[in-house]
Amino acid sequence: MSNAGGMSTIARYADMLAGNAVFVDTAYESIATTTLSTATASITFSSISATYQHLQIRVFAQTNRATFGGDGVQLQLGTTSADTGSNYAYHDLSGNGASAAGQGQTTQTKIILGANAGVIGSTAGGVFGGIVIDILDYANTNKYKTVRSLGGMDDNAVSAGFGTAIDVTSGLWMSASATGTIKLMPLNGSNFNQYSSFALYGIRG
Amino acid sequence: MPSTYEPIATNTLGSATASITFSSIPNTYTDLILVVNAKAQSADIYPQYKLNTSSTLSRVYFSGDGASASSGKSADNYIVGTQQVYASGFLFNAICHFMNYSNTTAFKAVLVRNNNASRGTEALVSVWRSTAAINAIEYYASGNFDVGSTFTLYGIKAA
Repeated sequence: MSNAGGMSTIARYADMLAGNAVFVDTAYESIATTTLSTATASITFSSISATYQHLQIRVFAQTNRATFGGDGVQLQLGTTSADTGSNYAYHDLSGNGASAAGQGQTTQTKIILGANAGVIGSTAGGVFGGIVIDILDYANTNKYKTVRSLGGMDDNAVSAGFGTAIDVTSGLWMSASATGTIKLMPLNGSNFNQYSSFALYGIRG
Repeated sequence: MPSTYEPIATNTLGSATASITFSSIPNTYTDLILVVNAKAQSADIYPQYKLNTSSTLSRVYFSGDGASASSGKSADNYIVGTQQVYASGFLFNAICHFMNYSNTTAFKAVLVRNNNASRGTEALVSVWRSTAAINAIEYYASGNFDVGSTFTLYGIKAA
């Protein structure tokens, strides 16, 4: 904005929102958050309301895996409890800094996020990793449920082997039941470490 | 339930510039999301970022260009990714997730998806090896972002 033309007093705003009420997206709501004060073997969100269109889980976590810098996460869905049957499939694409790779599995008892690549950190690597998980049309009773995720961790080459990586995963829960329960567990470690955070959000249609 | 996907600041360029800084970011959110749609003014450019004026980030990525997929990593590198912002049009977009950005007990992880509609796509994670809360993000390049490029920072607050 210029002061040319004799205008001596002009309000200068750093952004387009300045001077106006902040727009709040009411379609995206926080449902529940768990931040661990002690190491925990699994995280379960239950009694999830069916009032949203989609769900998103935002994870910032580390496991107690001691041998490699990264770890994966197991995901199970269910109605009132997590389905442990062979009703899942997943595929992923990942990069570890040396090569890109893809793989997939069917007839599984869980969806694995980061099956070939660390998507969260571990005690060995010393860092936390992040995952953004979307569960689409989770309450629809006419469809199987699909999941997608973006996750990764980078320990700056502190650990060897199964460490620094970036991953995208697609998952399928072959059930037309509404999703009322979500369970997350470490893939290799036995616990999520202290300070790990798991936040569940609902997105309205 | 509390609504919680709030725009913190938006910058739509009225003149070409090489650097956009979001400063004095409050620590009242859980995650930050930066959404970019950009065009370079003249030469193609690689976007880069700094957190709290520090550029010591390591990264790992995978990318695809329509013919093959590849992966790479580097330590202490501040280039956001391998996808360039082209001068030929608004072909570049990015979504950057700054996870638990105000956590003071852990290093910061940033998840990024970069797309150049005429070149390729990639996913990337980088770590900023600091336990300091992120209070400033500078998104910049060696050349100018062109007029009309947009940079919006959102905050997500967990219950």
